[in-house]
Amino acid sequence: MSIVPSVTVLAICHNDSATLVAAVGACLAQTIPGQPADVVVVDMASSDSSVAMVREHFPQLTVLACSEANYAAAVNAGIAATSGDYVALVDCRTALEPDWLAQLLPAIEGQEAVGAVHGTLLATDGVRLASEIWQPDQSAGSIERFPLLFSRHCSNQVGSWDEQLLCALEHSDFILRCQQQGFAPHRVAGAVAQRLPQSAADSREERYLAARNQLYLTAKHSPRALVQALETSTFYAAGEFDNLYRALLFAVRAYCKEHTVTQSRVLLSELADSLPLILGDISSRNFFSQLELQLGLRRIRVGIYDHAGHFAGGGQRYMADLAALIQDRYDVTYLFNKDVSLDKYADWYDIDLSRCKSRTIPIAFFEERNWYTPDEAMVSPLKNNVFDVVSAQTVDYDIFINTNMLGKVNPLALQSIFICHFPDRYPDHYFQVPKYDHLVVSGEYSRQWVRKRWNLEPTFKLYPPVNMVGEHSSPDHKDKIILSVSRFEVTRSKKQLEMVKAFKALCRAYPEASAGWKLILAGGSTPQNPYLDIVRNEAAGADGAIEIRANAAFADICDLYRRARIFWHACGLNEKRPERVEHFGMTTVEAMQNYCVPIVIDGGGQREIVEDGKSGFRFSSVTALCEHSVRVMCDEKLSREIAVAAYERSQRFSHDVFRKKLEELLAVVERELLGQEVLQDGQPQDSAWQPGS
Amino acid sequence: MRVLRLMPWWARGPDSGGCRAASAGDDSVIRFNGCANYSPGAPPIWRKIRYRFAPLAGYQGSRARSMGQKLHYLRDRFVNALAMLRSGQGKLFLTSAQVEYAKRQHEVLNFIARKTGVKLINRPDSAFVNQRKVVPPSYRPTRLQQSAADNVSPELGAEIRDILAAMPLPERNAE
Repeated sequence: MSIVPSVTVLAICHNDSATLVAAVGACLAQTIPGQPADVVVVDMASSDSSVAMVREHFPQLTVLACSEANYAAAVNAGIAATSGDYVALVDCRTALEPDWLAQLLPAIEGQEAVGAVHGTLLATDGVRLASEIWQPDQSAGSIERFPLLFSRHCSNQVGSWDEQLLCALEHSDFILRCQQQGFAPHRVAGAVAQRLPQSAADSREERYLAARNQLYLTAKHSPRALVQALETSTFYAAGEFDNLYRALLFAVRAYCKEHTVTQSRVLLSELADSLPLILGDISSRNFFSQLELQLGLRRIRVGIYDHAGHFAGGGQRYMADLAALIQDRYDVTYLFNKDVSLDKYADWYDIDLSRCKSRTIPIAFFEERNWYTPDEAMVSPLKNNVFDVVSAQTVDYDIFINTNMLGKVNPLALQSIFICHFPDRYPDHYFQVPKYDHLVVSGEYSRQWVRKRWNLEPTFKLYPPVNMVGEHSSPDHKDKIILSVSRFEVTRSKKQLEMVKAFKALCRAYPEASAGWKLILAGGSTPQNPYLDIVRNEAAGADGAIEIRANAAFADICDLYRRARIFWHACGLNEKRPERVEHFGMTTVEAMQNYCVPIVIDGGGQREIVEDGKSGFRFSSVTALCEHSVRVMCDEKLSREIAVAAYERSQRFSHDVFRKKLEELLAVVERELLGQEVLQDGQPQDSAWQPGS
Repeated sequence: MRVLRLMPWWARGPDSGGCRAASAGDDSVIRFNGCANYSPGAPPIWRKIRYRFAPLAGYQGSRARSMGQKLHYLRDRFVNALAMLRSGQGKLFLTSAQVEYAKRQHEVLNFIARKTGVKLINRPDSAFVNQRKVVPPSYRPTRLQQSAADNVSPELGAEIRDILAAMPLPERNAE
């Protein structure tokens, strides 16, 4: 009495609801002498109704659900979960003829040297498909997704299917490895299967993976042919250099991981010679740099460029907060155009950047002219871009962060981030911002204007961190103080003069309500500031009800926040130009964190911070400012309610929220640096960038 | 004062701020916003014409939309041109004219391109053309999984560093 072999049919399914019933039905129709085939459906994270259909039409079948769409992983899971002597691998887009298994089984049963067999596959129109395995000098293997029968013995010898392939060329890889193990897979012409009409075409990812795996298999099975294979690759022919770069990186990293240093050295040397001719010098440098990173041979290097880092400002503080958070995680280097000591940041903002390094990149054009701060408006379109000297240095970093809106620095690092507080300039010659990987804006107002002026979609919104919560602040212990904190700008953009006039008008119109109230204007000022003198002169006529505190100490400002009941912010009043309106307004948040009632301009970033009537008030005219103020002055209950709501609202802009959002951004950047494959569109990109009207 | 009034408005210096008197009743002292007091011994103001580059934030330059802004821009160009000619900087004058012509040409071509959908513009670009990153990939999300960084022999790291050291960055566009 002969022993009947047991056969397991693995029906692999991924969003195949259109063809699934016919394919699984054909699997169930397979018979072997003595017993029916055992059919198991393996689902690769289908998003359609495939699994439900199996359970409805074939309730007796076992369904294995995989968490990801990885063909090799699904096959491995199916092999591990079953115990048949032979495994038939069938795609749910293929219908087997009823005698398919009966034709194949005799060709493999009892013949250990064969290992695996396959039959004939017909296309949907009945044409016979070729069954060639992948070769390094061919564009692709054509045996993919052929129904395959292999013995468990062969599978154990060859090992598990390569899950790095994801969804292409798995059959070629398996058969090549069978051959390397001494098996002799072959075709049995009489075993016929037919492709079923598909509703969905191959996705972009599938097309990418098919081309990427050609390079991967070349590195795996014929590494000496890899360099030649680059110029015949699908990506090269289509001009998709981004995809070529990523696919090659994937292949070489896998090769280096699995081969000795000597073997890897040979491959890398060949690539070092030929890659610059294919990808160019910069991309070749990037390639080896990223390979080093992905092999875990060094930490991530971050370069932060601030052309105005030699003086204190809001943008500098924003970046210093960011740098302080990442300096232990990465090797952080500040790039300046002037000699700047990072100790200054401790003096200015009390931020410790001792683990960061700094590097000076002088720009000869501005040095010769003795300009205090480089100005991109001075770069002529007829000359070379003077900021290329900075661009050349960015190639040394894995992440390049351009922090002060200088849009003419070409980012050559692996990942680049452009931080924009407001798009001051229109796109002009040498405008490089579209080349950055991430465009980070500091609020909704900036986002709108980036869209409008630059025709770019910001990738991330990261509010400035504000951390001014006073220990002794409370909504109950407040003095009759209206506070405003902002720089005394020579350009008069902060509108202190208008606030002084408004307060005087308020006192005249509501003498009883305003009795005992003071207006205090605090903020930084440059020496011999004519605007400060004008404001002082105007305030002098208020009988001491208006105080001007220029360049007040940090502790004094904290004390003022603690005592003030109302906070005014008027930057943007009667302004038509969007850059003259406050882009965000950190001082408003600082006041809200100290239970002040914010009465702010209805424009710019203030709209995002203060909800009118809920966590403060917004005004568009001096009259509205006075009316809101008098209302808060006279109604203590209302004042307290709004102050508490303002405090709660201010928590949206706290340092902790900043840190969490930054983590999200860095997670995306790190994923791309350390191995995630981001796809380039199928069409070659055109370098001409069309600005918005 | 009479001389100043005869000066055309576009030829006044950037810091003249017009010729408004500081106070209506005081004719003996004439102040100008932001500049020194006028005195009979000083050179006439048209001798002090300076450049009006005005590269301030928000300055729209040739992209000005309103007629007022356009006139402002035109005035700046005239004042600059006049100052260049007066100071004998003919070469700079020609270069500026060339820049202005290039801008106008660019605007016209851009207009044609926008209306016809034909890409005619070649915007001046950085010397370093990174062929790979013409458009950043991050704007296109992917569903592919990431694979973690691996640790391999440090010797390989030395090899890669050697390769990188032997790859000088081109001074100018070599790609």
